[in-house]
Amino acid sequence: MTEHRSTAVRTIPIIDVPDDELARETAQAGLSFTVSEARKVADLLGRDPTVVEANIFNTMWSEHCSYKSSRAVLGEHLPTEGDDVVLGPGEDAGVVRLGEVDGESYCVVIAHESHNHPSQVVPNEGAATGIGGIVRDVYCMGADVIGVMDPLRFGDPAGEHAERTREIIHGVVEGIWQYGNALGVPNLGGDVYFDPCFDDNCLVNVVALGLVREDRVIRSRIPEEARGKVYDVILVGKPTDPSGFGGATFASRILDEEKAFDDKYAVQVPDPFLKRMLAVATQEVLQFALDRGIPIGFKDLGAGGIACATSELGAAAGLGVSLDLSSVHVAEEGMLPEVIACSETQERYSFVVPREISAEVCSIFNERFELPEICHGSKAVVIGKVIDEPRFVLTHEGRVVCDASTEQITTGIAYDRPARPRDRSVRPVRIPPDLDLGDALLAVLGSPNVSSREHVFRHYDSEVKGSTAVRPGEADAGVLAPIPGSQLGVAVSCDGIPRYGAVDAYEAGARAVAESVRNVAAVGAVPIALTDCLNFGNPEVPEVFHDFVEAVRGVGDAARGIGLKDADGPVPIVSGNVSFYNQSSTGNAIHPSPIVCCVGRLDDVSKVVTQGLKRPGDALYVVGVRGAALGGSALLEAIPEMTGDGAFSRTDFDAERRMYHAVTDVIGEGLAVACHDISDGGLVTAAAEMILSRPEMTGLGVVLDAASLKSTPGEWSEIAALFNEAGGYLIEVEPEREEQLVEVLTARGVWFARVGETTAGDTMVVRNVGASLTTIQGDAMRHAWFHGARDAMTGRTGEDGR
Amino acid sequence: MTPRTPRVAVIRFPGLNCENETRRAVLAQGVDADVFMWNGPTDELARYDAYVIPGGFSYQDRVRAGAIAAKDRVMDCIIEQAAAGKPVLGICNGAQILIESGLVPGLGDGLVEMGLARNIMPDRDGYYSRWAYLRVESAETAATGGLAVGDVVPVPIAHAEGRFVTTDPGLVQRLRGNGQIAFTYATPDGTFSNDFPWNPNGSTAGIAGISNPAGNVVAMMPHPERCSWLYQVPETLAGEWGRRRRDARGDRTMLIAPGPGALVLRSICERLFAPEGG
Amino acid sequence: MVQNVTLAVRLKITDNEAFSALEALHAKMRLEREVAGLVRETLWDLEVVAATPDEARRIVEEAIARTNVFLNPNKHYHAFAPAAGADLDPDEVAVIVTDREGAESPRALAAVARAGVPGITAARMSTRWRIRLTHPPEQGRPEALELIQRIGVTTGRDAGLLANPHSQSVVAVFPWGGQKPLVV
Repeated sequence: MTEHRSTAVRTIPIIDVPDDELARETAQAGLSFTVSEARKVADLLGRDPTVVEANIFNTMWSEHCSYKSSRAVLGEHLPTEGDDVVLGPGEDAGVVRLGEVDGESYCVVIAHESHNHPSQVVPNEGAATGIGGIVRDVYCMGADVIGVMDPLRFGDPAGEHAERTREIIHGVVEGIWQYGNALGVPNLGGDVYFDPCFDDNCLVNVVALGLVREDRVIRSRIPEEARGKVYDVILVGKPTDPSGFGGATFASRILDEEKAFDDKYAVQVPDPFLKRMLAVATQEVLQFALDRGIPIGFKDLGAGGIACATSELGAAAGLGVSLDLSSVHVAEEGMLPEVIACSETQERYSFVVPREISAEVCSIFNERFELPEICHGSKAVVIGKVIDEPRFVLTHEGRVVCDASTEQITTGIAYDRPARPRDRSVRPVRIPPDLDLGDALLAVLGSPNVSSREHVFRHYDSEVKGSTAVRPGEADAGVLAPIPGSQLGVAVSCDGIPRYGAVDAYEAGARAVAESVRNVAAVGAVPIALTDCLNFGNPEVPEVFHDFVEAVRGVGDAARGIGLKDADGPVPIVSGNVSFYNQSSTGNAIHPSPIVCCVGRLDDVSKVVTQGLKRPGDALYVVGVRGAALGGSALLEAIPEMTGDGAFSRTDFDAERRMYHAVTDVIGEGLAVACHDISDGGLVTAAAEMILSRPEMTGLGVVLDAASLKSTPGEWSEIAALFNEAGGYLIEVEPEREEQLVEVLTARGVWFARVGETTAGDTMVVRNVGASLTTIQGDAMRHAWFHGARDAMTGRTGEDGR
Repeated sequence: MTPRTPRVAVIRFPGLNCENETRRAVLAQGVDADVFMWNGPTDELARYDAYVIPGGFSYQDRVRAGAIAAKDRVMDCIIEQAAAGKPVLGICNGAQILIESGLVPGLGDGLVEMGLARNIMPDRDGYYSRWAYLRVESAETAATGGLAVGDVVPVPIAHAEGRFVTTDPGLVQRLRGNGQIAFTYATPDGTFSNDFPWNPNGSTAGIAGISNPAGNVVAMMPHPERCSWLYQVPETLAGEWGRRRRDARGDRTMLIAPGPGALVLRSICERLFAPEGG
Repeated sequence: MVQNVTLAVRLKITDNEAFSALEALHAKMRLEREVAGLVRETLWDLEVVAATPDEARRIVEEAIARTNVFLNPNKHYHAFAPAAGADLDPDEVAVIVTDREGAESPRALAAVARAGVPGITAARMSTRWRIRLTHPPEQGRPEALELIQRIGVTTGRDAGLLANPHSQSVVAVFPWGGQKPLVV
């Protein structure tokens, strides 16, 4: 390419260039365009694009930014609307009403993203910038971030690539705590699964939750009042550097181990300290504008950097912007204009404000918070202005390097990808006849995918901000009481089981929704919104794309079928993300991995229940009929002698709906003292976890009567019923409340049974009509559960280190 | 003449992140409290009656946790006011700042006599979050005035560098003799224990919090502001506080009753109302 | 035989840590007239089984290229530091700060082994602060040592910044090749 100080503005020749040469040229220029995409750019502009324009389109049309493969599918299947949805997908984050406090409507802001590729290549920075990116999306709605969660998927920690997998786990967890803890946002956990399909592509998803008063939601658009007035564009934060240049396109292609070294360049450098300072100072800026009744525009800089953020601010309002790239504060001399325009340098925001307050806004950052003194080179500067015509104009060193309509830049591109179902041979699951119940339970409890996640979540600060009411490990969902003085609570859970993705993509999507709803209901909260992060392989492979469509259908059907409690209609999916190309150059693609987050509301946070048993002599009730299928189950995975991949328990939307209504009624009426959802490892594992979730208080156990689970006459397997993973709940209830509990469950028309009692025994005893009696000691369960995942992740074995 | 309501300054250094909830927890003790910027006017700061340096990552833990903030101009003022007897509480990073500034343990005039080093934990490294059971070792400090020796106060810790260390072999003995060890880590029933996880970071002599010789300046690694109300307390906690939390389920008024951390903050604030205080 | 290799790693991008440390030395400890600049490096003291020092360095270069543990080439420069400060400029002195506990990095060794690079048997991390003085230090005179002590070893608010002697050891290094432990 030509040198950047040449007199002419550099262009990418397209119009008169033959296909083969064009492909070579675009690749040489570092663009990931296809030939037809390059031609479309020239068509839109009516001329060859400048290098800056080509880079802008290249970023905007990456899969990561444009959703070009997925948009139509998402639009067709996912319900996104609801009476309480203030803003759905399309903004940086979804906004949904939580409730009223003192006459003011408060909203939860939710964003959900992936940072998979960067985390595989540079685990620490990759995971850290994942949090950095997602919290920006929430901050820029005018909200305060009140919590984050990290659903993580790693390779087999005992498999072929065990050492590398452990390095990645350590790096990812370290990146999460180093960023999140310093930022000062409570981490409510998330979930962790291991599978060999993630050996070459770990998944690092991240959810951020925010709180904002409804009248203070800020849109990512130039305010209408700017038309015909003088409005400045302010850039604030870290000096722009070349880091992350090409990050969006990096996230949109297959990972090549050989090229991983070069890809380190595409990963940005995180700075939670600066992010914290920007968040605190921004609150003062927003308050300053609010006090004066001045509408402003505010947007974070993510993929595509300055170009993406400011063109979208303009396009959303039908206005334009004119920026001087030479006035952008940069980290090094001589940066090319396309790098300044498109670099994904972290920790930056843009504001659009009337010129009369520009100086004041800049001084809040630069003088009051001394940004340049505490972070070398960081500051707020005016880099351009709003123009009335809807054009995106960039100048650099006195020359126009981009002049396109904002609509052209921000109008996407779409593909209709072919889809083809996979061939799956189904072999029935066989239970070895001599399988001992106690051995099976210990194997499941000690398996990396079921055992305690304490090793991970104790790295996280889950109580900063002082509003955490339920911490990771205490219940199925994390719970916050985010409004001081109010009893309103927010519950949140992330779910998605890779084992079911391996068996059936539709079920994986449906189950992720059902389980996230159950987890939120199990603490007593009713679901108000969902988000999804859809992690898949290469969408150009028809089988992968078919899986994608199926998973989206599963998510959508479940959201509709399970629905809201207090109103008709689906649980709205207000935000989400699609991550394709989670496939290595060797062809190892991940299982379909839809991961769903559910946000729930607790009208009275004092009624929240946790999963640990409370006292001896209480009754245990199961809600939700136990099936016999073990396809996709944790038992099947944990017992090497068990074979097959056959039938699994399909998620029953109607039953899930009735069950969560019943359970939230039960908790709302104060009838439950403990509640836990039935998922990985089935009922018997859930019961064990209720014993184990109170690590500092041993001395409680349960007696279970397996025969109580028999719902239909005929052939019946105790093991199958105890480990079956059909959705359900276990509820601990005081004897004097049993009658009321039964009334509520009956009224909601759910299947339930009195499955046992709590004891003072520190053991689990399983009876089956007197025929068999198994006793499993608390210490054995504790040892298996506390060591399983921890030892797998650290590669060590030891007796301590709980 | 009605005495004015005492005022507490909660210092915001760049990078601290617990200032807002710390202010709320202090306000709940019946005093006024403001978040005070590190670059604010020190003559104004001098007029406050007590100071809290909350947790977080001042200056991004550059050089060493607390090292840069300890040298900050605003600390000149706090050191002066501490010398005049006003209470000063450093929590977590605040404790690291007080140790690095030589305010605590403060036996030698302005000498840095201890360090807060990286946690040492079996089979893990880095940050560690957990509820710790603190045993009150001395009721002579500003943070423990309302408590009795032997009381068990569960308070969460969350840090990567919380291990009190010193190269002075006699220091711990002197601190104990002076009643400067405010809290040690213990088992749920209040028995001193150096075993992980009860002592969660390998701290020397299980020290969780110490004061200066006069007792008015206290540095503690655990976070009392995170357990100032009962709703912040886990149901799974052993002992009396866990039982109180479980008994409070479904009772709105009980859940906003004071938690164990409120006893620490109340001890500080009660001094401000004491007749001889001023 | 075992070769000792010291790898010095420095940020290419702005080092806010050194920026703040210099600011503290200048504005808060009033050393503007003595201290002109400050550079922070991570030092890796490695033991490498190799026939020659060159061979040992080649092994370390390979470990750098094949793992993430020592540095990210897009973010960091690296160089092999000769013993006893022979790479310092005549107007530089250095302070090497090492945590008393936890400086060894078994994780780095595991990553190197996993990457298939044989021969690295020990890895210990320290921080080396290169302090540029306004007046070059003079060998045989006490001023430089006193100044390093004032900058390096924290004994009070106005005395020392870079190390807390209760948890860290400190070694002073001089451009003429001498070094002196200040706190063991």
